[in-house]
Amino acid sequence: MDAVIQLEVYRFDPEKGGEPSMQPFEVPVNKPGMKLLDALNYIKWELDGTLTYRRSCGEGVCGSDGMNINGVNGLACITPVAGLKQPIKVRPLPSMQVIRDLVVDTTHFFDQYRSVKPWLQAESPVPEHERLQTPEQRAELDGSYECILCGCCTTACPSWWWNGDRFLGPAALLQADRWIKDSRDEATGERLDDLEDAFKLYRCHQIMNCMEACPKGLNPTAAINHLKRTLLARKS
Amino acid sequence: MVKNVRYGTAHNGLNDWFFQRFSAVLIALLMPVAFALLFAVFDGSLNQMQLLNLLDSYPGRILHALFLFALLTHAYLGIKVIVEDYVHIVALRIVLMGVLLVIAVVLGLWWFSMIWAWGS
Amino acid sequence: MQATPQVAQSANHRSPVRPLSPRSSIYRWRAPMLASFAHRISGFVLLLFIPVYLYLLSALTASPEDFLRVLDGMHSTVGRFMLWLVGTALIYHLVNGIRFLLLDAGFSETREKMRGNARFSLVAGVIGALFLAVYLW
Repeated sequence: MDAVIQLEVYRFDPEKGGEPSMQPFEVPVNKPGMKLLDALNYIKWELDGTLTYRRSCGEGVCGSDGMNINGVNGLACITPVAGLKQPIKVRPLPSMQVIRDLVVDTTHFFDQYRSVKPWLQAESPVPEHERLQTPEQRAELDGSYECILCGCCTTACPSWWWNGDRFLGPAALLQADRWIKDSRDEATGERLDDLEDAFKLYRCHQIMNCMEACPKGLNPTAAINHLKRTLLARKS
Repeated sequence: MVKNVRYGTAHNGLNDWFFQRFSAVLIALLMPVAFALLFAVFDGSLNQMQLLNLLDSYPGRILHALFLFALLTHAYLGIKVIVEDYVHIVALRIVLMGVLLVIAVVLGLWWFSMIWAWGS
Repeated sequence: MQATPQVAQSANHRSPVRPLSPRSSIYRWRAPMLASFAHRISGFVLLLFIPVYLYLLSALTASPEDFLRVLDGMHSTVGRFMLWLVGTALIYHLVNGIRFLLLDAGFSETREKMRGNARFSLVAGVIGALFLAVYLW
């Protein structure tokens, strides 16, 4: 690997205003298995303290450092710099309002998540201990409960770019599917009612950028297809 | 606040989605036949009399009419999806879809009358 | 390719302007995205062919003179090109349409298969286009 890596980072300063620009940086490779987040940390700590980005756990669990890396969304903390084409182009998540540099306004994204009521809804009395599931029922949730809401999938989706005000986007729909699949949930009918909408659900055209972007290896496209089949089965 | 939370759910989309796919299956079966005929005419293996005999038979007419309905349904729903994706002014979208519906119906009537007028 | 950033008005009055981060101008095209977009483009081409098809149908079933005139038209360079274009669109739209139907029905829902069959559709479209070109010329 090169001793130095080249990066170009998206910069926008609301106090200065003006057009956003790409700023080049050179960062030494300081450890084996170096991740993109290490390079951004080096820039912030050694080269330019004004560079602003979100990060927290640094190991792909918190979902804070989702960004667009060489044209594809991903988490900086688990993306090795080795194997990335240089200069590595680092931009904020697409189609979002930029607050500063790589930090975007996620309000709408989380509003959409909240709109699918991502919590257990059950009318039946709470049992003495807990609501039990068989191992098979629990296995149904594999592939959707792992979502960390980093926003990589939703902001990668062209349907969401053009109609994000109404299309719920892959992340929210994956979660909607997660609660519809949950054997303990008793609001499945209302959940399906809330989704049967040309814009909320049926904007998905199998573009699969969500699946390509998901840093947890999940498949929101498959979840959306499952929702469509469930709605069809309900009406048939 | 999310627009779709305030507006609620329109309870549409499922029918469009289903008929898009239902018509797709019919077209997948019939469209290759139509193209095979066209190419047979192109390379001279089918002359006008043979073409007319195929089209003007009752099975030919019925399959052709089925094809017509499936194709126009599929095309209309397809263009509807594109318009919904890219045209964001709702009033313009409504007018555009109305115009496209009229065009689809006119083409359908012309086509249908053509099929059933042969030989009469 | 760098897009001119679109500027959106923010509800937050402390920072009146927040640019919209770049999207279609910078996102990398992978096979499934290309397959979906190509499905839309080929569908649109086929849509434009409907009036042409009706014209061909009416002329080919009219008088023998009309039939020969249209046959000549189909054998002209423009005619051949149009047949090639619409034939290619048809082959791709058919192959990828079957792929979409299978996905809707719940087949091949792993990431690898979804990527793989997107590539398959695209390759089938290219092979179909070459095959048609050989046939028509």
